Amino acid sequence: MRFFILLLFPAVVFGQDAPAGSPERGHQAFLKYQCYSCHGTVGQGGERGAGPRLLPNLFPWVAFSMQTRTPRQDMPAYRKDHLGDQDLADIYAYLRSVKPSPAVANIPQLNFEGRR
Amino acid sequence: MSEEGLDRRTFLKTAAAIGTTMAAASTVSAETAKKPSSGLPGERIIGRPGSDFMVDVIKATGIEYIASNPASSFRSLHESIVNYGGNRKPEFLTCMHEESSVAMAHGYAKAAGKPMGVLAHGSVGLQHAAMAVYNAWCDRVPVMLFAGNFMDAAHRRPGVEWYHCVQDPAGILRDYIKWDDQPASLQHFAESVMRAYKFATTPPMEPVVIIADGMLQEHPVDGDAELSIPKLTLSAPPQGESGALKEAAKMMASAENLVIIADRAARSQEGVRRMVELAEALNAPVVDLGSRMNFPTTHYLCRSEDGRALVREADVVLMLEVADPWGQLNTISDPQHEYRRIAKPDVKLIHVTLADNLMKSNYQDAQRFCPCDLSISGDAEATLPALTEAVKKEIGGSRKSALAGRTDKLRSQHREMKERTRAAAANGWNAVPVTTARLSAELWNAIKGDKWCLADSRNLGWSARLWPATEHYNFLGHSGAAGVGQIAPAAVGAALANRDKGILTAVIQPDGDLMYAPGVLWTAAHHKIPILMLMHNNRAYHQEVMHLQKMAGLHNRRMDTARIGTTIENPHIDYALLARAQGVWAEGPITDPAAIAPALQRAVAVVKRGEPALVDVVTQGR
Repeated sequence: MRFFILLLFPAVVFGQDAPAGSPERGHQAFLKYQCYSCHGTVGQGGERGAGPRLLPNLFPWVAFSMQTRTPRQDMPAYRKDHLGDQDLADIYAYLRSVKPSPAVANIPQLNFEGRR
Repeated sequence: MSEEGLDRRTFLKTAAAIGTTMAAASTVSAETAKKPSSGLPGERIIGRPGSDFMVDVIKATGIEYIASNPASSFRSLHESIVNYGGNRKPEFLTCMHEESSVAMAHGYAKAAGKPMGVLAHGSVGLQHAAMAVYNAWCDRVPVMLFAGNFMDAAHRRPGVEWYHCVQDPAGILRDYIKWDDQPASLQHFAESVMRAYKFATTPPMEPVVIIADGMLQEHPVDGDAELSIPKLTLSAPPQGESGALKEAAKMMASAENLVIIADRAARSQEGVRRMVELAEALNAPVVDLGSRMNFPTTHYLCRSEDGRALVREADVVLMLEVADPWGQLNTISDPQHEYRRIAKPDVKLIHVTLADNLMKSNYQDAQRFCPCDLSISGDAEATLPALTEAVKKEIGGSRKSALAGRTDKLRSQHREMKERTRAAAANGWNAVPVTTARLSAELWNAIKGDKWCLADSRNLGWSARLWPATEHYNFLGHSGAAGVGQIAPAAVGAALANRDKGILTAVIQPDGDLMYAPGVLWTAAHHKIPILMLMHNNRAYHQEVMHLQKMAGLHNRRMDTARIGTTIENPHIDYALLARAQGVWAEGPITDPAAIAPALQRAVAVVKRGEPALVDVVTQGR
């Protein structure tokens, strides 16, 4: 339900800035709290029951925070008792700092057309 | 298996005594040759042991290889294979674990299209083999298991031989084998081997066990002329009933949103061709669940990644030998165990399967019961021609045009699915550790110029999603029961089958799986089995890391402990060193993504000269 509210009132979501965070600390927290085990070390996502990719279209902060604290579907909940607000803000800052991946067109190994 | 009973000192004394006796014997041999036999045990010769006849029987089945860890309960049969049979068809493959023997036979059968033999102790050997047998059972793969056992207690040697004997050797496996027998005579052995082979290779194909009694092996053949080896004629696979196929054709021809889901449908390239013919006749999307290579990934009707979305919209679903039909229409959330329906409540389900012919109750591989509107008992590949014919008869002119009118949209949806996959694979392309998508793409680029086979195509799903695959030998599916430790030996078995076909076999090898029985690397090196092993070294039992996190989240506890008991680090295992120690060419560990391609190029050159090669890459979890 909350997800639909977010979709209905995008201004509420996108208008709200994320709290300040440190990408460096966020990287460490991303690893320490095992976010990477499902989503990959650069948020690229995993497969076979692992988590979806977080990038390049990172959730807005409110949606990101909500999904982390009280997740929809199969993601484990990271509640404040075990992942502080500042850690979460740092993780968000880290994800925003990840450099974009190259485009498919620039990766020859992903050109499967016309191959046996 | 080693035998106890002689300590080192006693052994040396005994060996010295034997040496003395042998020297003395050589001086009198000419003399004794002139005299009638004194009846001394050392003069007894069994020129035609029962195990020779057993070899004749095994040869008559066409079994080419026997995978085995050597053991005393079948020492006579082992010797007969090597000396009497010339170690050719069957050839003895030295394995370092019975689980490896059976898993090799599992992979071999899928690549060769026929069973391999396995020899094991009836007791401790089958205990070791059990999990691999269960994998083969769940994957519907034939394996011919022969187990040694001394049934007659009066002839058993004291000590270890008693530990290694058992009243009912196959009992430990009976919940997940199709048939077994413990022959009491050589003629009985011949007939039961033929029956076992027929049972194993008639769909649904499954492992079988024949006990080779120790005394039957070692005693001389009594009355050779009276023994006969029955002719082996394999059964044609069962086809679905024609009336039911006509009804299925009607349901599918009138469907608005038909989806075909195939799992273990195709047993051969002909099966793939038949799948294409049916799908094109209906212009219906196909979801290949991948336990076998059922459908070309390049075909515009291949929509394997869109399975959930297609099922959600479907009014009719045709399943072809699907292991878990309920799981295609419903799901249970994890970790909350909440029920969720995926399909429409009134979706019509047709299932062509032989699952109803397997009646075992203890192990739960039957999956959850799935109500079905039309259940057709038959082998999918054998049933496809008649089903397609019935469909073509049902589809008249206007309906045919309407179906053909969907083609552009279907082509576009296929193209979009592929583009989405490639975009997902590009994400994190240069990340360290290496992403699993990049690992898969690099492997493809290393082998794309050859006829290729990926021995396990489920463990890392990127390959089935990304690679253009058109041949049945391209993808061999998965272990069956997800019993860990199967991937490496099954890949070696598949590579053996592919060796003479000019097909390059590769496997993306999980680290945890390899460590169950890494001795299979030595077997590959010893028997010159060319396999390209690319390590997916995530330094963890990664599935379990994620399970721990889910449980911690559910219990509102800390997550940063999820790697306790689930990782394979501190120290890191050097897989290249492990491989080289067993005579396998190897490189790694590689952490730089750019270093993978050149290493693979060197590895492929090794494989092409007929040897195994391993490239260790440190990867992301999934």
